Amino acid sequence: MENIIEIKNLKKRYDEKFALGELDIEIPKGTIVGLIGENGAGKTTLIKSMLNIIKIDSGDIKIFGKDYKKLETDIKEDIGVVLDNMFFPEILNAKDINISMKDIYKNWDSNLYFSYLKEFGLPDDKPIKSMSKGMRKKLEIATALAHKPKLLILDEPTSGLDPIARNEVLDIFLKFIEDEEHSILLSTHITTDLEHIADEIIFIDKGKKVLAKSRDEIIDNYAILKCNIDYFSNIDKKDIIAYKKSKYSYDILVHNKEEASRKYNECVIDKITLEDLMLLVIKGEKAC
Amino acid sequence: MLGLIKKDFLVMKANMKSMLMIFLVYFIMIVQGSFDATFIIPFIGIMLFISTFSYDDFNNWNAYAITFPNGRKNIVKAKYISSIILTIILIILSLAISIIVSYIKTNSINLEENVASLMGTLLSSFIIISLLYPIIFKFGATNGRIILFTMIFGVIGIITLISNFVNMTVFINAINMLDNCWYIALPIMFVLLLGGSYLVSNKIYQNKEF
Repeated sequence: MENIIEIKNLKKRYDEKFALGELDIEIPKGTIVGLIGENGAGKTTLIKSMLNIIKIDSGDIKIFGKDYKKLETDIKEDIGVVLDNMFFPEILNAKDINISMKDIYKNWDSNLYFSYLKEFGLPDDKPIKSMSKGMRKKLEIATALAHKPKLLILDEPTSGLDPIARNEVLDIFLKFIEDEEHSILLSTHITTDLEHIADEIIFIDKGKKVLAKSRDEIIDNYAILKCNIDYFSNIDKKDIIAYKKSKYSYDILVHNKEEASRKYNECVIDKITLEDLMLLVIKGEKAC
Repeated sequence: MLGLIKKDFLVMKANMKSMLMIFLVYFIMIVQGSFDATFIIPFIGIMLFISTFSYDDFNNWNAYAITFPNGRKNIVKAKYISSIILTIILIILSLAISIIVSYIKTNSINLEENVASLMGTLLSSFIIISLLYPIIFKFGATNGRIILFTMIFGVIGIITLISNFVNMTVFINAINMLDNCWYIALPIMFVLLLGGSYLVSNKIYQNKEF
């Protein structure tokens, strides 16, 4: 499958405490890729690096097969972004955004923009500051879509939204991805969103890529093995990715669900959620 | 870049509604003769324009605008061009108001005096822009203003201190010489001031992270 984003050896050091270290990331065309990790794991740093909001120390970034260093302007014509708390001055309204944006993007389509505003039920004459959080987010999405981008880069697009607004926003993304030429990179710590819409998951922790797999592969193969304290010593260390001990039992993250259920039939096997996966990988202990 | 310029004018337009009362007070004072229109209008304009930096900072506009095609290259350029356009518009407006006010009051027009006063205001406006913008791009709108005022008071203090020990007539003579050839000297000063300031701001901005 053709890749829409290819990142090689991306490095960015902020200070002694945090660095994005030698990241290799590939994002296939026509997919929704979810970037997960706890707050401060490096998700926003990765997105900012890709958009030149921060300067990378080293590494190569290719988007749409084009070298980012040489063709940044070209590439950005085809990217729509929704960033966390970064947008037009809140004193402006949706009409003002149209006036400004039609001279920024070559492909900006005012009719399409106003049709999105209508579809999302947004007023065009009220200042952004008078809008609810859900309305603001939808306005940011309408603005990101109106120049007909091929790639959407979204940083925490659903944070702070109530479940209804969140579902509406996720539906917009699903509609966008119906076109096979379109792709989405979505960073969030609300992992349940990704369980509904993501095709691929990239898990980042402390600036490093911990896991990159398809959502189905994770859901089908990974599981949580629950066993009592006495039984834990019978578990082969090779089968344990991470574990967490509670008062009476162990939660063990395993990556071959079927094999584990055969080998350890005295244990209970639970389906995994992305949240469980995150919790165990970040907070759990390693077997060796 | 035109889109970025339009955005700054739209922010000022939206902000003007909340500043309407202040403008009205100044306008009454101009008509009464408490203030010289050629002086006060362009300075209000600069203050209004500086508010666009504050709104940008408050909503993290810079990080967002960098994601636009040519964003990083155009943001600084757009700020300088917008403020030059605004200053020129306000200079013309204040010239018109001054002429009307003086005609109403004295029934005569002293164009030469008004133009000379406007040139002085234009130069002061460009000096403020040239000093302030690199500082704002480096430290942000709020900190930038504090640093600028500290700098101004510092410079005044140093000049006062120096004037106690050094004979300043040489400098005063140099300034008087400029008086005779201001029509050549002023444009050169504008270009040097704004051009130099733009280069510094641009250098700061190209390496800045948000």
